[in-house]
Amino acid sequence: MRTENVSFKYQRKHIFESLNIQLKKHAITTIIGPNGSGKSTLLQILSRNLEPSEGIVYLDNQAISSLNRKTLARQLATVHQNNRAPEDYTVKEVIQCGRYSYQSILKKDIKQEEVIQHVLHQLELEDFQDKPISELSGGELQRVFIAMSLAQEPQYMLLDEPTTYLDLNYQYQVLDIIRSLNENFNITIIMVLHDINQAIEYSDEIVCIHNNQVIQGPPEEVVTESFISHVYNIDAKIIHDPECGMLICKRKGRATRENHH
Amino acid sequence: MKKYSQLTFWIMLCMLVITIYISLVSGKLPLSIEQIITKLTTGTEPQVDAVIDLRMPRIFIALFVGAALSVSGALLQAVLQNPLAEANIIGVTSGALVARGVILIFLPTLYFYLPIFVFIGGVIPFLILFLLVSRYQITPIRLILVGVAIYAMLNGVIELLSMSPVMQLPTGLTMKIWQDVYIIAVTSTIGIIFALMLVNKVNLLSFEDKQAHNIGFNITKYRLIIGLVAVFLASSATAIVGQLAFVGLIVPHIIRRIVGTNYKKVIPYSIIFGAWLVLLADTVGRTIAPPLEIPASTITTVVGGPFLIYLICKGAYVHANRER
Repeated sequence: MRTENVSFKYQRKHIFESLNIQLKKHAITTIIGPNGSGKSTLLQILSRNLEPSEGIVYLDNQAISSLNRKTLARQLATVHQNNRAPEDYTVKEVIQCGRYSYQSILKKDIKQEEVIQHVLHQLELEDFQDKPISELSGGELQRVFIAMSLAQEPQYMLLDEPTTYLDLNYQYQVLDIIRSLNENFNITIIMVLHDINQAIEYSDEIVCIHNNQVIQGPPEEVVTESFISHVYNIDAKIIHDPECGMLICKRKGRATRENHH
Repeated sequence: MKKYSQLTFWIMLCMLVITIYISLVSGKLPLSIEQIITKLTTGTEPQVDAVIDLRMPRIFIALFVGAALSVSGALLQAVLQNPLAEANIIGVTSGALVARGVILIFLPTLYFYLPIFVFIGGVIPFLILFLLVSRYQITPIRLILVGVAIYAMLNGVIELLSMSPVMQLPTGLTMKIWQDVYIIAVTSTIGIIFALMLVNKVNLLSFEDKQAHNIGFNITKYRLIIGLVAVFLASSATAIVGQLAFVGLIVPHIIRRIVGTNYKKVIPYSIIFGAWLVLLADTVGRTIAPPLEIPASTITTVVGGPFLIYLICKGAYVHANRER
């Protein structure tokens, strides 16, 4: 997946201009950056929820704007930050909605049941399948929405801050699920994360847009002490721990930018 | 839960049948069971024949109108994702009546196409709200306020048009003939069949726009289609009986309390319950204080007003608690 000269304007303000990003196939790429850097905007452009003011997004060498809605949905699935579903639907019914792009009046979706059972198993939702989603906890709900996108049998999966609203245990559970989807099914993952340490641990590549510059590469190369101070204005230390791997910690004291207006 | 809702279905059906029977035999011209049996066995019975000509059309119209308005309300609530939406409150029925008046007064040659214009008149207020929601994503309460403003404005226009002697507002449920029954039977049946066919899509409207797009569901298109079905149902009911407030609000709400929010159930139950409610309102209205006839619209307004206030307050209460 790649963007070619993509610009985006919001209320006459340029969020970014002429971005060229090449996103590796079959890898986990995480988009990081401070608030307002446009990371969610970028993800929305990649998932065709926002249209770039200029430029083209390509998916396997096809412009996504040229694909029809259902064709796109069969290749690319997106898990959003805020999700909603019919309250009274059971877990299974919600996941079935992920099959929408395979249904049509003329053709029956013969693989539906098989795919759904597989997805239920994959995300350990079998015991919940007949429960209404209004009775689920936040972590379970997030798994249901990931399951719904998986039912689309996508090759690409975009996730917008999949760990927000979740406690630490569920955060790592969701991230482990995402990693296993990449490892077992070769699904290309592109996600936005706030937590840099999680981004480092779980990604093959990091993308950061700062002042309209794309900084991209493996986590060890991108995330350096000068990078953190440059992008986030934080005096940080990088620790290599044998058990925890690479970690970013803030040095004690105030943030670099002292006079915060 | 399933058994429970099935039981409710049969109870409702029984209530409906009983109410139809009571409505048929009571009134200025009461019928006895013997007279009905005579009619059924011999084929003629003057009093029963009179009732068939005078009271039967009214009963049928009450049933169809009740069903149409309830389904219309349920659909509008899904389309606008707003529990307070209803054809009357947001000005759809007023729009239909204005269009009807304009045709009657200024373009009487187009009388034959009246149903089409009535529909167009109802669509305009809906489209205004639809654009407001999709463009500016205004909050549910604001949406209703805009709707009420449109409603008030159009009702002013209706009053203005009523000054013309040519303008006749539909007369509620009184003075109905079989001709009216045929029209409403055809239009509401068509609308309801569409609603039932689209019921899965109605459910999918609960997704966030982004989610819908990413599963390949064209949510804007279906909002529009389902909204148009709702407007069609409401305006065709209005063309026959005029404004019948709050039916589309009360019925789906009570039904959701009983069977949940899945439209696969909400729509069929609303059909039966709505038909029953309007027939009940009409029967009570014409039998409670004879020879006076209280119009069904008066009854639904008097009962529905407090219900709307209750819903708004309850929504505000829930909202206030969530904020904290």
